[in-house]
Amino acid sequence: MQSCEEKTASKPTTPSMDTTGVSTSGTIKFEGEIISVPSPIQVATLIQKNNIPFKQELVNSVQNKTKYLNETKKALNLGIYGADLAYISNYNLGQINNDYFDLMAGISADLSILENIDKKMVNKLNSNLNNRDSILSLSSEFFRMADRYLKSNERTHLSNYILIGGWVESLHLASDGSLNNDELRGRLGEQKYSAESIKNLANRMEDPAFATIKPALIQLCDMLSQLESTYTYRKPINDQREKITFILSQSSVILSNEELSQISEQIKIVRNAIIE
Amino acid sequence: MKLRISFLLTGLTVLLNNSSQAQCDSIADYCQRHITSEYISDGQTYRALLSGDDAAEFHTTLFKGNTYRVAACSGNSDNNLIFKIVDQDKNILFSNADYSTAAFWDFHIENTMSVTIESMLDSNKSDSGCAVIVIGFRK
Repeated sequence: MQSCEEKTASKPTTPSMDTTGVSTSGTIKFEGEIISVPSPIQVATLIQKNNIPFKQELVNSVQNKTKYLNETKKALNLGIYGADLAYISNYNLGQINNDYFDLMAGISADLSILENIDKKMVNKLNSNLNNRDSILSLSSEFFRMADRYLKSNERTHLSNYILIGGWVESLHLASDGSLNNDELRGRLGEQKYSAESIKNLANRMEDPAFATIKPALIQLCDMLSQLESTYTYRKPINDQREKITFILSQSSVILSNEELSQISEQIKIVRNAIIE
Repeated sequence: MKLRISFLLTGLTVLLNNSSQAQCDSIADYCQRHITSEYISDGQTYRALLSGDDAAEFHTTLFKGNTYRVAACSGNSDNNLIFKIVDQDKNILFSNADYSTAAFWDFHIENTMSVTIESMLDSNKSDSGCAVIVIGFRK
């Protein structure tokens, strides 16, 4: 299937991207977009794995909801609150889970999403807010259904804002623990791989309500993209019986203390522009 | 008369578009069945309308230590969509064409990496249709 030789690349490894719907090779981008944004649940899971204590001040306040008056801000903060719910679910906090679910449901209703997704699933999520596994599974299902509904109804821009909000909040949560935790620091640096897609996505969004956020977000993406990285191809191992492939290629992203400090500061600027 | 034709064409375009979206929705729901309860959806569906030997692609990041399930569907039955996973240096890491166009496959990731997922219709089974990819990661 592929050669056994190993190829090493050092220095920035930005994937080449075509921002048009159809490339010269006739390849189509999915939905004319290049968007695959890492699920915030993956960062929340990493935080849980590392037994990092809960910090109330890290999540967007429930009271802020009243500030979000237009669709763009509502969608961005739906992504933020969704990432917060995944984070909160790590800590068995009872009523706070309900508060953040209510926020998500309220904003989704404002955006006419809630009435257009499977009510059984929403009710199931609502009645399982004391179970971390259920929250993670059902909230990801909630966002997948929202994504499907918005894309099917020519409201893809709102889906994009939800994804951007979730991504920014997951960076914010990762950056907080990054100084003292190598895994979180590594995960923050690895956002380099997603930064180019987020930047392309942001560049397409022309809503005036996004205009104050966009330059800071693009700057953040540029800072991440410029991080030095290495990649070495290794031949994967396939297990046909179990239908699994072990991807063994080696990679690293180098994030110095100075870069970490600058990127963390930029994350704060972007997040504040979204939540305020 | 011209106005009437214009209305008719606009109406036809809207109908076709709605029909395509409905087709993609139905396939996305079908495909999601492969993301079983041991997996958490990444919260997105990736889809494209394809014909002939068109290929659709998107970039994604796979994080180290995770096991991902990628499911690929076109139509309401399995094994219709070919998908490949390609690394940043264009090495093919996996192609389901080598495994009877398997509708889903798992990937354990040793180190975080950026990959491109490409898909195309199996020309022996279909000339055109909606291609859907869904991704989940193991709990």
